[in-house]
Amino acid sequence: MSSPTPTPKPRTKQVVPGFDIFFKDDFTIIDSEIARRLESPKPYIMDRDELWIMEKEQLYELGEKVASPPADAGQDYMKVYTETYLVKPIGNLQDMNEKYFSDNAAQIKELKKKFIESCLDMSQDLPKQFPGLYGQIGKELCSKIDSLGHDKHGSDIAGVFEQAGTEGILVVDKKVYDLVNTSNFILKYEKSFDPTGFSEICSKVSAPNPIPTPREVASILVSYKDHISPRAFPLIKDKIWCNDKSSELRIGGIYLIPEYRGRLDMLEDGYKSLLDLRIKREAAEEFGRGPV
Amino acid sequence: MKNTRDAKAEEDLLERLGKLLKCLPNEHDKEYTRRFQLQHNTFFQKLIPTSVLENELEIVEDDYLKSLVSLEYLTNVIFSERKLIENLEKLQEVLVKVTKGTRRMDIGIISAEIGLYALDKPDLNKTSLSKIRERYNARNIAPPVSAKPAEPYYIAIAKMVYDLVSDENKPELAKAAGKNNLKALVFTDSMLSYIDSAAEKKKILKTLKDDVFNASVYVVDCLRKEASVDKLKKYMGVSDG
Repeated sequence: MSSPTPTPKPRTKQVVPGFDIFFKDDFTIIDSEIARRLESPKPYIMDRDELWIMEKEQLYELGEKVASPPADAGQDYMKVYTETYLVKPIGNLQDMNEKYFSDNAAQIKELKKKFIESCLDMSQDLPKQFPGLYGQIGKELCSKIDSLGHDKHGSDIAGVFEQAGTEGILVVDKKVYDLVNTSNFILKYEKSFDPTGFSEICSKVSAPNPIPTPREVASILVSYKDHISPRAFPLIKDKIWCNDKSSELRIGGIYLIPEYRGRLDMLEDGYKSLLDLRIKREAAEEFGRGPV
Repeated sequence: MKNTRDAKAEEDLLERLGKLLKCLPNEHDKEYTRRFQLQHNTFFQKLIPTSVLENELEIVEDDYLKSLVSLEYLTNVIFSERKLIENLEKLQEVLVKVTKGTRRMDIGIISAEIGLYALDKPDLNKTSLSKIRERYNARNIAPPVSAKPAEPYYIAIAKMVYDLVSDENKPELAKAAGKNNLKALVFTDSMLSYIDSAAEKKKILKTLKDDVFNASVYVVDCLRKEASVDKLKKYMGVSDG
């Protein structure tokens, strides 16, 4: 017994403003393909093997070794154990992204082509017959891609890395540490202080000129020891400053404490998806402009 | 004050150690966030497995890292069991009780307990030694020839290891090609001050120059030969009364 022949669906006419008409089901935008990850190259920063720091989109690494922490508050440094290194800028995130796009131009061009082919199900001749269709499809693609971006981090690539209440991140061994200034670090432990002690400590720790060093913050905490829960006291103080072998990080005159967030992979996903989004958006815009 | 040649030698050594440490696969990825800083976590991840890190011992600060390295070396290479740490945890309870909490565990007490613990172990004879040597070699991970030079962060971590070894034996660090060479050296060096016999000490130092593994095994043997409850009590600061 043979299957009954399906009844053909009624075809919907679609109008391209200022041009001809065609049937809507002659082309389809495949939404699942828009969301699919691209096999794009790995972002440079994710492959970086050495310690790096990002503060307000500016990237840094450890540079020259110096005998001791520089007295000049404008000089950025990191002390690890007993060793002190100047912290030097190595570019910013936006520049690094541009370099990523220019260095991988050929591969990205190919990805764009594949992306458009995978998203559109239509006869190759259709846009040739209806030239206005390029612009219309390009526009629709852009709008679908944009809604995808807003579901995640918007277009703010730095937002993938930096969290509210932090000054930036430090990455070492593919692990991410949020950089929290000493005042914000103490704020997190508010419940461990009595209210009087807490407000006095906060005003001393957040003194702007000069900003107290971690050692000075630790000695402020020691002088208010009776106002802090005995269990919390060593945990707070030792994370800020324990002894001469404690680590210190100062960028832009602010002392920062690294707080573990997680593996770098978890950021890589968000970062790469935003780079992919840009590739997809550019592909859609280029398609919208029609054949060159 | 160091002269230029010493400073250069130290710099080269730290660069070499930094490269070794950077290349080591992590023992674990756990972050101990409550009290330890970034540098400690890197040190732990590279050198100390969680089975050793997660103990109940309260060790004095100056002896903390070298005790952990020594206990790791003993429990995972020499004895291949964690019981020594469990014994030390029980001993700590006694220490807290008899000193009313005024004394904490230190490397002297640990050395005396290692000696007593080794008394209950079969002799480190040829058969057991070859097994220990196998374990030692199996985990003596070294950096590949192609490894990149150490970055500043790892040179600082290398300094943490460098400072665990006495000045007298620091030159031996230059011979440490792999992870277990480092641990054996830190252990041997840490125990030297607690060997009573000057002749044995001399022999250990001589052996150390030729083969750090043999020196570490010999140290265990010496601690065992000199082991006594009185020695343990002496280090605990406890009198018979």
